[in-house]
Amino acid sequence: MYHLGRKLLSAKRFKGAITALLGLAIALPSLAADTPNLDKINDRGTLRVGMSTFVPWAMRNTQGELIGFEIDVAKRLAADSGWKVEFVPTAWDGIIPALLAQKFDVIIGGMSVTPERSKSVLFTTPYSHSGVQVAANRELADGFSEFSDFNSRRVKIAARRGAFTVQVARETFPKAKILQFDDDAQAFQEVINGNAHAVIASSPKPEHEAVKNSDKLFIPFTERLSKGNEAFAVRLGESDKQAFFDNWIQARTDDGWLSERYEYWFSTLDWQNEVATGQ
Amino acid sequence: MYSGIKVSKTDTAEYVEAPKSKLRLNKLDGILLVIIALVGCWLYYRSSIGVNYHWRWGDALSLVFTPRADSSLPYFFQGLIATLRLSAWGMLLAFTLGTALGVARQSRLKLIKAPINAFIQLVRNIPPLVFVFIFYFFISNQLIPLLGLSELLRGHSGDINALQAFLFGPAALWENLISGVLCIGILSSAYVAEIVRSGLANIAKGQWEAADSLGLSTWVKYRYIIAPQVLITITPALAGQAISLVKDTSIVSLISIQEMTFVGTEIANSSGLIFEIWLLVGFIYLAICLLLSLFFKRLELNTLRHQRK
Repeated sequence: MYHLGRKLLSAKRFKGAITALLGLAIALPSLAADTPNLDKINDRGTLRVGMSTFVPWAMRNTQGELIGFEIDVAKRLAADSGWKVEFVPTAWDGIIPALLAQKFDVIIGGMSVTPERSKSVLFTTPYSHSGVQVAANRELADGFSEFSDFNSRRVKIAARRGAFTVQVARETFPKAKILQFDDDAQAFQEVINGNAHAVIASSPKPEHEAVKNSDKLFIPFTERLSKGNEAFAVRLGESDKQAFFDNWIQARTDDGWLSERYEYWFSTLDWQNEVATGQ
Repeated sequence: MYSGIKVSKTDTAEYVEAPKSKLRLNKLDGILLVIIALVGCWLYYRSSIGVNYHWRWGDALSLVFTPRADSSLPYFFQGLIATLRLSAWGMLLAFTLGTALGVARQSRLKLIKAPINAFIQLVRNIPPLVFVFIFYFFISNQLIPLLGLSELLRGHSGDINALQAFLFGPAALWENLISGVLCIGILSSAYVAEIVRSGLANIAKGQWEAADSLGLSTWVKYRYIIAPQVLITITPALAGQAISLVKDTSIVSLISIQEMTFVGTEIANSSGLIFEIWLLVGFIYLAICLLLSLFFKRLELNTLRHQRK
């Protein structure tokens, strides 16, 4: 080993390398106590937020500007921390790879905490708790009111691809056939057209749609299927950022700001005039 | 090469007019037209009973034309311009890199030929979407920081001049644009290289030998003997490649390059006017590609001028 080392490096450089390594070993524990990842954002002064269009979490208003629950959360987070905010619109399928590839600092995109995702990203404490609900076609699912009614090989259920709802659908209705679509609008259209029995999506979209298309859709269950926990996601090992965001979420949960905003975007339709609402 | 043959204007005009014939319909045409009309009516009928969709073209059009809050171009048109920018830079990269690869493939050195061959086979035999994902997340992410571009692109906050803004768009999206151009350009360059290679292979051996026996240098040989003949044979194939490059730009919406398809997805999802927006997006791609094929048709006629005698 030493022989090889001498061959590759001159004695002087070898000594230098050893010294540098030792120095690094001594310095490492003190580095870990610091907040290197958070400092990067502080140095830049801008928080880069990865998000994906998903009504009413984040969407474009008629003028093409971003609005929605997520957008409010990210803007407030940046304002409280003295940063500017920059949104990086990202296709949902590639949002985790894009986070890992350092395209942005954090995902604030209505992402539900799941064990699978926890293997590749680090979640903060949840900042919202949305549910999952089913809207069914009046003709095809006539008289269905129990979970077991939908758990049949003949039943087709539409959902958004890659979303948490697909997993809920698989767990709740293991026998049913799950049709996956690129976005919610297509999934709802499929049920309205009578090509699928029901659509599963995050509340309150099914409730809103059932009201709008009351001749075609109804809500078969009285309770929501599953309580999702949405959280910010950062890269694995960035525990300094996680701790910082956890503190912020705790503070905004305690003063009721998060639930007030959630109420506005999810329980009222006051914002509907800002977007050209169709479906 | 052909400078000795003078083509008069009247000759060209005659050639262009000759293949035109008067539009006359025979019986079979009539029957086919009726069948097409019937199928069209049936489709319209099916879509009106099978699809419960309220068409709201007025809303969709006004949405697309609404300027942004800072009274800049509407969001949809920013996407359209990004697509045009992406296509133009992509074509520039694809054609230069592709030509270089195609010519270099002629080399006798195995050391040059083998890696180029491997690259072309690799890219041509992977589906474009898969290539884009692999390239973006594994290669472009290493390449851009390696070239020292990431700091330049991400950290750029100073003002940009009008020319820069025209060529590359807003500074915040430069990195985004470069990733897209690299993906599209490298993907297409493999196909262009193959087209150039086939064009070169088509040149009769005598042409090479004649050039060599005249003692022409490599540059002169390629520039005045080989290239003019190759260009004629490969123009139609290059036209096809340019058009498919424009269509391929829609694939990079999946890696969040903010071009027309990406913007269309966002607007369609936010507004719920899904079919209207998608039809508009499709129509614009159709218009761009039709214009391109018209342009290449003109170019082709131009390169064929000397044959019309």
